[in-house]
Amino acid sequence: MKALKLCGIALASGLAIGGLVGRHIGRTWSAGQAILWETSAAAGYEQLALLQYEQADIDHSRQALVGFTDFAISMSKLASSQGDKALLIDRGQTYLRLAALEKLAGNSSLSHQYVLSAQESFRAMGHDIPEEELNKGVTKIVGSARVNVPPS
Amino acid sequence: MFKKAALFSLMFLVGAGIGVFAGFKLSSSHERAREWHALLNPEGQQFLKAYDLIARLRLADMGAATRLQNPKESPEHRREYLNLILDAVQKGRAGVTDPATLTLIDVETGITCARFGMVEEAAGNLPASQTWMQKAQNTLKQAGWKDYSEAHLREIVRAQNKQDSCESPCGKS
Repeated sequence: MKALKLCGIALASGLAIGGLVGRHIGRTWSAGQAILWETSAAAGYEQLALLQYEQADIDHSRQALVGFTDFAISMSKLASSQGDKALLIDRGQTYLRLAALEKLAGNSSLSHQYVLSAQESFRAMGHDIPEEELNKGVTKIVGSARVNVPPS
Repeated sequence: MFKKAALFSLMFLVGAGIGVFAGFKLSSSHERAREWHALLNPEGQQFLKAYDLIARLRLADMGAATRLQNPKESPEHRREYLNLILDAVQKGRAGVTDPATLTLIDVETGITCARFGMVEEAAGNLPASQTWMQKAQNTLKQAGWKDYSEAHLREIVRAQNKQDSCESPCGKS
């Protein structure tokens, strides 16, 4: 009877200690996996969107960049994305590229909207960049885009 | 006495094993639920399918690029990794509905086909290489690419391989 009782204690203490260790491993493993997935998805989508922005016609470029900003907004709802400043920087830069694209296409009010969205993204990560600075960035992107346009 | 000690140790180990398994399962499912809790609506579920596919493609891409950059890798091994990307696209594409994401998946497919073409060319299979290159050109033309010439695709693939293998932890050896 005493031996049975001791066996029960051994089993229960094993369960308790194992449960705590398993909980810790599970948390660490899941957190690591979530971060790996989050960084891979963000980098993968951004890389493809940038490639499309550089290589495709204006409609497809616009679609890819808007797609990335929407993807980044959805990603910000994930627990692993909380505090991910890189995602906010990438989103802000993509808004600036969109602003440049719309400026080149002659849609100045939409271009301005995108500059404001970029400002909001940078502000969310703690950088309050004045609109004039962002407009300079847009002009720079427009300038480099013009250089890349082959002469007709 | 020794038998008793062995029995207690065994009971403790059995308990610990069950405890680790149960604790791991419970906490990892809890963490997953915490990660996705804001995206449990139908729209969020759609996003999660695209999110999962893009993450998988990215990881497969880095693995493939690292193998393509390594001159010691055999063509079979390179094909195996490129097939992993095409398999992931085939399995995951049906779950994605967002047109922008679908176009980007086509871009990934096009680049993978061009990579396949270059692998087959290096292995001396010229007809297969041409078939892959044509597939790549058609896919990227559909995705709106301005220049989808073979020479340009080769240039893009070389740049992508270099970039992806540099970003991969195994590429930094």
